[in-house]
Amino acid sequence: MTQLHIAARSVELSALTKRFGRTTAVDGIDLALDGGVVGLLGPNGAGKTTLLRMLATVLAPDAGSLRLLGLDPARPDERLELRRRLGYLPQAPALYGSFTALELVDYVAVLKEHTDRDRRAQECTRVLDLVGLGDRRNSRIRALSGGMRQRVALAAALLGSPDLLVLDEPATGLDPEQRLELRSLLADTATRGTVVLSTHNTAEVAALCQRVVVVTAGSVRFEGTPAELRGLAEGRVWESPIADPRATRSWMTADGAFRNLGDLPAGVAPSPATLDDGYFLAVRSGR
Amino acid sequence: MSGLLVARLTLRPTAQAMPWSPVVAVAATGLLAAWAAGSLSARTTVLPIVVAGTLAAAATATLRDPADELLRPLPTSVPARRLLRAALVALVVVPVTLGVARLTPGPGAGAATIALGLTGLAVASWLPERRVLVASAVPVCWVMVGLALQDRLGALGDATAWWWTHPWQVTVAAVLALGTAVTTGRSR
Repeated sequence: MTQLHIAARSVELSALTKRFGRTTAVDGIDLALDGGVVGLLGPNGAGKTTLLRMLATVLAPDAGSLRLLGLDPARPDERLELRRRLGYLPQAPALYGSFTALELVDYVAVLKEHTDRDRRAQECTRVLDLVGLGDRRNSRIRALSGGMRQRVALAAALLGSPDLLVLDEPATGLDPEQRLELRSLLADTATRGTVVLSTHNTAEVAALCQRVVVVTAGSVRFEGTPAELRGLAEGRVWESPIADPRATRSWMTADGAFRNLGDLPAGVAPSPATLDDGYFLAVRSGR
Repeated sequence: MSGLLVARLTLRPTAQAMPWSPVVAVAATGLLAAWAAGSLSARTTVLPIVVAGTLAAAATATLRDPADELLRPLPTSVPARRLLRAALVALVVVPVTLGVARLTPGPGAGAATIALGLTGLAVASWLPERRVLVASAVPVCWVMVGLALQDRLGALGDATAWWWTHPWQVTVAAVLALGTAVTTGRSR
């Protein structure tokens, strides 16, 4: 039983590669994840969405191997079993405007082989309540705001309490209160399985993720805890009234001072590092 | 058994999700034109062919599923979802084809419609979801090329009208291409 429990939480990638024509979107990624919330950080075009689509069995890799929950998605029978235990929220999902929120979630539930009508109705109600749309279940999707549509799609992803939840920028379009609710929801979900999400928001990672993976140009530049990512920049950040030419990167902060990142010049006092600083260093390490 | 139950339970939402307007517009116009041709005793071969091509194209376009990215990693596969859509649209295409054949003086194009429709479906199965509308253009393009080149370029020209002269062979080839796409995982 213990072995099954461990396998049910694992994501194992080995030399995973995906190409689109001449572009290599994911370039030989090795990664092993085991439970909790894992955040994928990276600039636009880094390969995060392609990686998530492979984790969600939407895309097949061109090379390398992929095992999810101990199953090989390249094998049709194992892919089917995996899909029964998987939830996926694509980036900016397109939905059917003429459906109500409940109709859409119910449709997804049937496609997920929830064929018992009573249990399906209970499950649909549960997930819509979880995302705070219980009172809007009979609203047409075309009448919902962007954030609400995002939550309808999230509700569909949560059907059946999946062991592996793959979310591509789940907080997009959500207001601050909804973001807090999302964090709470995902933290709770992660107690029973693995959540892998992509985001551009380091605050989201700091608040929610046990592990963070920084991806740039299709490769992993960093993997560790948020504290370890922040630690990359410890002793390598300092502030100055003007941009310091010795820094590898400088930017103006809200109070008008410049924050500099790089090898600390002699005689300069370091500033406390943030997750953003660590992220910048991790991204630049591959250039 | 589970697959059949899922198909039965998803009939209504699938029908609700499909883009019916192009099929309905082509079907209604085709029937009206056939009725007008029949009323005027105007013997025509072109009308059933045009209806066959446009109806097959419109039917292929109903495979376009905007929510595909959300639905793709579900246990019910893309081919299963598309098969249900194809079955539903056939409920419109078949009676309309028969109606056009009955109303129009001259040869019907029932077999050609099936051949062209399945060709569109087969091409769609080899293309990514976002290219389904490209597949829907294939039946119309093939009809146009056939009308332009048949009897003009020897064997090559004849081949451009196979959907009309050899519809059942085209149907078999399309079914084989469809089956290969499904079994090799193109539409997984």
